[in-house]
This record gives sequence, C-alpha cells and structure tokens, in this order.
Amino acid sequence: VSCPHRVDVGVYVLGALDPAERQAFEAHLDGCAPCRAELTAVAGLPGLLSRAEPPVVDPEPPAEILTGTLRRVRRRRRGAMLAAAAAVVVALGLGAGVADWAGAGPAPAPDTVAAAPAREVVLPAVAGSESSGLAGLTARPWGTQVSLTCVYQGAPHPPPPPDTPRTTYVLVVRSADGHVEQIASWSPPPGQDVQVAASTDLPADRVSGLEVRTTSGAVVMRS
Amino acid sequence: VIVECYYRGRTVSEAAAALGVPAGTVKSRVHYGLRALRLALEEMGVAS
Repeated sequence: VSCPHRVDVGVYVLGALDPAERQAFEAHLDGCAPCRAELTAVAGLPGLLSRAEPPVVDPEPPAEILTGTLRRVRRRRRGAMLAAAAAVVVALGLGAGVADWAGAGPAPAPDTVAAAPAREVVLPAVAGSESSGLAGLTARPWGTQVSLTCVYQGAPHPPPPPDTPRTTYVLVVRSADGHVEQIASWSPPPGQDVQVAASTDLPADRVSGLEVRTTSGAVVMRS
Repeated sequence: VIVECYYRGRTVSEAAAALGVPAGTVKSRVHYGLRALRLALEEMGVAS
C-alpha cells in the first residue's frame, strides 16, 4: 500500500469518480508511477466487462451474504489479513459470477476460453486531443481481438443535451507491412470515456500499431 | 460494487448510498475486486 490514492485507480477505470475527484486523481496520476502501473494493470478490464452480459442482481441477498461472510472472516482474522481475505471472498464471488454469465448465454465459442496471450498497447493523446487510450490485443485463431478503452482527460463538464452534434471516430490498425485497416467506428457524447470492441483478421504479431482518427482523418491518439 | 459502478453507471458516492457503505469502502472493494477479477482471468488464460 505504497500510495493512498491507489484504491482510486479501480473506480477511475470504471468511470465512477465524480468530475472533481477525477480531476484531482488525474493530477495525482501524472506524478505517481505506482498508480500509473496499477492503471495499466487494470485498464483492459472494463473492455472485458463490456463484453460480459450484465448480471441480473437482486440487491438484497448479496448484501446479506457479504456482511455475513465478512463477519465470519473477521472472527478468524484481523488487521492486515482482513484485506487479503476480503479479496479472496470477492474473487470467489466474481469467479462464480463470471461463470454464471458465461453459462447463461449461448455456449461460448471454444476460442473465447482458450489460453491466449494479451498485449497491452498504450495510445497517448496526439497534441490537442483530450482523450488517450489503452488497448488490449488478444491473439485468436481467426486473427486479433482488440479491446480499446478511451479515457477522457479534458476538463469535466455536465452531460450535453442529446441533440449535441457528435464526432465520429474510427479505430485503425496498422500492419507490419504498412497497410492500414479501419476496424471500428463510434460516435460518443463529448467528454465521455468509451469502451470499444473490435477485431481484425491480422495475426497479433503482425499488428504494428493502433490509431484513433476522426472521419475527417485527424489523428486523435496513436500508439 | 462493480455492478453498481460499472453496469449501472453510478458514481462512488451513489454506489456508497445504494449499498449503505462508506465511499472509501466502495473504492477499496472495487480495487480488490478488479485485482481479483484480473487474477481469475489470468488463471483462465483470458488476459495477461
């Protein structure tokens, strides 16, 4: 627990900090290497969560189960051990939850559970842009799965009216031999974080870089 | 907490109110929850 702000990283990648807290945390992030490392470690998760079925949760029973479990855990363990035990409890719960979601839908394709190395690619903001990105690249038998999280870093502002004109962005993959291919497009409300799922038939080892551009060709972020 | 903060799009203070726990607890549970999720996914070979 090297930095008191480290627990902010998780809620930050989930987009759950309110604007003032988020601005404070982003200012802190600039000067804190441990927090940046933590951010890199969890940045790919929202992209994965966005592909899972949202769980149907009855709010009451889980709360009772959690408090009951914490009470039992507290009886057995104290102090620093509590944090570790709670993490295990959460892990078991989450593991079961993930298994439930996977089991509830149509049978998953075999390659979605096959061991596949993922590569993380950072897309720093290009000058003048207010968003940067983190992408997870996963090798698949058919090509490469790309999970991109765009993090808005500009000044917070209230949600715009629904009729605000939107910019359309495209995700472009560069191959080792210099070809570029558009593999996703989206038109987000301004000032928001966005999770984008995309795929390409390029093998992961032939992906040399990623770019996000506007439809008019201006590069917003680039690896 | 991950359901509240991510799937329901709530902020930390909204999730804290909905779950009846302090905001700091929401943060730490999300923190440990995401680490645990990452570990679980690594064991399944989904992410590294």
